Amino acid sequence: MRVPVAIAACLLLLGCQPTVTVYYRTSPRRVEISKQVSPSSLYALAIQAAPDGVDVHLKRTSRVTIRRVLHYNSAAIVYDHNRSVYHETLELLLGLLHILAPISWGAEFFPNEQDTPEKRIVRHRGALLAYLDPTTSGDHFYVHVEPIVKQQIFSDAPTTREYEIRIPAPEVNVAFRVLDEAKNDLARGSATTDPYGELQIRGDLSRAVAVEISTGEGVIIVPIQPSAPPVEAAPIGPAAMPHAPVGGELVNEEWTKQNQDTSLPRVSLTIDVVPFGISSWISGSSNLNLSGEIRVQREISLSGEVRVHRKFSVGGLVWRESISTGDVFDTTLARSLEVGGYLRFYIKGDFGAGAYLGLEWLSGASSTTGPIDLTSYGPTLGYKFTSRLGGVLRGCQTFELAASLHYLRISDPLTQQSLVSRWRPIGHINLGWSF
Amino acid sequence: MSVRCLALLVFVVAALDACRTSTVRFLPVGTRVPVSELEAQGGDLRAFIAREIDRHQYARAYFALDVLKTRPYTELRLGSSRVAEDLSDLRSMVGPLRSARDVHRGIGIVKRSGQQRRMSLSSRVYWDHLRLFEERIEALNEWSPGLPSSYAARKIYGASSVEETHLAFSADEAFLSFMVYGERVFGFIVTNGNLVVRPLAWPSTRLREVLRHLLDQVREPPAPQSLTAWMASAAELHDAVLGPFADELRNPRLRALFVSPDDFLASLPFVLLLEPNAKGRRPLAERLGITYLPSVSVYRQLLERPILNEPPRVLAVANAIYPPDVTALPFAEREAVTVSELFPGSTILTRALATEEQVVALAPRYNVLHFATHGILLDDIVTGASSLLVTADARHDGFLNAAEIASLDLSRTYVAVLSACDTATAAVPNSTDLGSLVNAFFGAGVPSVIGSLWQIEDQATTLLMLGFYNRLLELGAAEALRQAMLDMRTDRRFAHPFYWAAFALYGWNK
Repeated sequence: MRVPVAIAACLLLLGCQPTVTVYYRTSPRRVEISKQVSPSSLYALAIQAAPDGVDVHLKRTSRVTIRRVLHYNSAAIVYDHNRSVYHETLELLLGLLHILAPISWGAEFFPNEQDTPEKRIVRHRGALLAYLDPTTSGDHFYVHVEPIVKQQIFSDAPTTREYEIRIPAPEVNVAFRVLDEAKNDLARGSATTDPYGELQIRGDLSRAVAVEISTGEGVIIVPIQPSAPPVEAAPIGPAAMPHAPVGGELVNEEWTKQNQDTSLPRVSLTIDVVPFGISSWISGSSNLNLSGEIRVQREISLSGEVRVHRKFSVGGLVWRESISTGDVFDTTLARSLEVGGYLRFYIKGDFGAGAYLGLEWLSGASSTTGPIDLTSYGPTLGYKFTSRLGGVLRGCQTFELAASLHYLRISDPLTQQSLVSRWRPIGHINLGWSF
Repeated sequence: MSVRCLALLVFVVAALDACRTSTVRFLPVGTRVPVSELEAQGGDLRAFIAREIDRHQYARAYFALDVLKTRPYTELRLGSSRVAEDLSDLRSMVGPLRSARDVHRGIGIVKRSGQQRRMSLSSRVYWDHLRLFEERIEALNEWSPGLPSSYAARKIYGASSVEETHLAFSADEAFLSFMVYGERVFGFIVTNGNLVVRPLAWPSTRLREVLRHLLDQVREPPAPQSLTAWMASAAELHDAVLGPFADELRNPRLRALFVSPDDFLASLPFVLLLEPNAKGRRPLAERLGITYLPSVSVYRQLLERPILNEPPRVLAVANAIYPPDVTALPFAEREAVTVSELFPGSTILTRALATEEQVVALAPRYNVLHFATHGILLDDIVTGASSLLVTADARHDGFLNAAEIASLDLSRTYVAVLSACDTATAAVPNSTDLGSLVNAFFGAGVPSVIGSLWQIEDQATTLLMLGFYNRLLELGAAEALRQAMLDMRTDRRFAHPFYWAAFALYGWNK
């Protein structure tokens, strides 16, 4: 019996995972290149080298498109499991203690630094889970450096370069005609280009304006340029020449997305403090006088929210509300425990912090004096803010302001008589933790 | 009872755990030598390095070597503006010029008559820079221990440790650095984070002699009867220079070798060294892309340069109007014409158009610079005085010197090709500077520079350059140059190293 347990324990420790990995970009690793070259065609330049001579430079020109992606090596500091049974046992106990202290639920082990083009932080576990999970280490990190990691973490955005290249065309047989403005022949003949793809035409060519070149591939008419053309204005200006800074936009979007997600909390647990009457003007939105006869008052309001996507979440609600007479006697008619849920879409920001639009739904059926049916649903608009506070262990405190407009319906299940049926505005001030 | 058992269990587990080694392994920023200790050597860092090697303190020796080799570049970069002012008119300092040899078909190095005074830059600049770097490293280490974090966060590069060198290269790259100290020559190789330091078996005198013999064979057009005469020296030098590191270089995954030569080894064309293989011997260039570096610290700065996203546009400068007794270079002009016609939007400056004013004004606006002109080595006057000769104008002396180049903003330039002679070799004995012209382009922001080790034949150079530019954007500078060289070898007319082995890539190889 002891042997299988020992083997299982060893396997468990062998399967241990790092808690946090911080990647740092180092040197370029490789360049990924794809190249397309168009079929070449003949191109020629004609230059008036002297009054009695024209030089023709024959080229083969192609359009080239090259797409380059530069990938980098990276080094990593790995905050790993220390594979110590003793420490892991202590951590489990510590984790259980942490469950009793909700303020630590959203704690993280690494400062909330932002990723940069040269640094990426991947958190594999939150603090509480690292304590409880025997395959991740909490307090006692085994910190080590991997000088070159195998994964491809850093890459530049792909750059596409399109250009034309003109290679000299040596040993090409050409027939030529040198033309004046009236298209008269000043010289004609045939020749073969030299190793530089050039040929010299000599004669009285002072009036020459163009050269007609015939090869097996077609006929080209080339205007003759002066021998020392004036220096053109530099074609490359700052605005015309954007360059990709090293470590700019990432090319591996999937990795970026994954990394963004891992830096966000997954769960938020909050309690609404409005029902506790923290302020008189707020309590007005927590209590509802219905026709001067019935009053609905929230006593407890808890919510839990789970991230489905950076922009989208689902949650559960547990409310306890009292329904009483709205008169001077304020007699409690019923206490309803309501359970429901909500959907939220973050129209600005994300699950970590941002404005959201949501839809809530609650239903309750318990009573102290007699059965009632309660249904409450409607839209909600709010803003959630998460701050990371603390020292080495950082907690995610969550603060949320929201306003809902619920359609409330209370009926007697026995008689099916509707007691209340109207819209009610609700204010929320939610405080809690995210992790 | 159960409490006692639990207490006993906790005690046993704690005792076992205490036997484990430390669970926290922060890797420091590497083995370094305090700046004050290096400065106290009074400029004789080579002796210090040799002593550290004798004491088996190899990592400290490596760090000091990086300091030694980074110094010329840093001094040039930090002091280029001031030096450029001092060297604004070199004509009176240099004296009469003459072509070194018959250059009617090639490009020649220019010599000057007589010895000139030696100026020196203030060494305080460099040590102050290193001290600033050291303070920053200490601050970084205090806040964020661990090698990668300090490596990534650092923007001032003073000197690099072995550990930082490891981070600068991929697993398929090796870095080999040499130091000459009197008769002793040491090699430092870093592969996969391991530093190996070995002395070369031959004294420097013998190495010089064999190297001179090799260069005599390859620097001149070959005679038909001596086409293979260079091979014996190339094989000997391979065994002498790279032999001690055969185990490290034998790795089949190795694709690139970065070399930081020293002193006379800066003239050694490593591509030519003949390594043994199953069929006999083959040039090292067939297996490895070879790139030259002044030091790892300089290389790491080059890695920070932006990568251009534009089609190539060449500024070609060739055959300027030179001082009397300096030969014109009509074939260099032809080479420059061919290169400038490769890509639309390129510009060529020759003769009266190739004025220093034009070159300085236009160079920052092109992403490929091609100089096919005379070079003159003046490092013996002052670091930064070596020049490319262009046409003088009313405001400039026609010496485009290293200090002037280093003070330009060439951050948009992808590669500079110095198709002039001897641009990559230093004139000062015992200098660690690969060539202040190459360093000057690094300082101006150019990540890759191609320099030449000897006088070049014009037609072969044109073909080599065409092969290089044709592949440049696809393969990167190192691989493009390597394949262009190998292509030349397959052409029977140009198979001799004289035609293809003169060029070397400095800096970034991708």
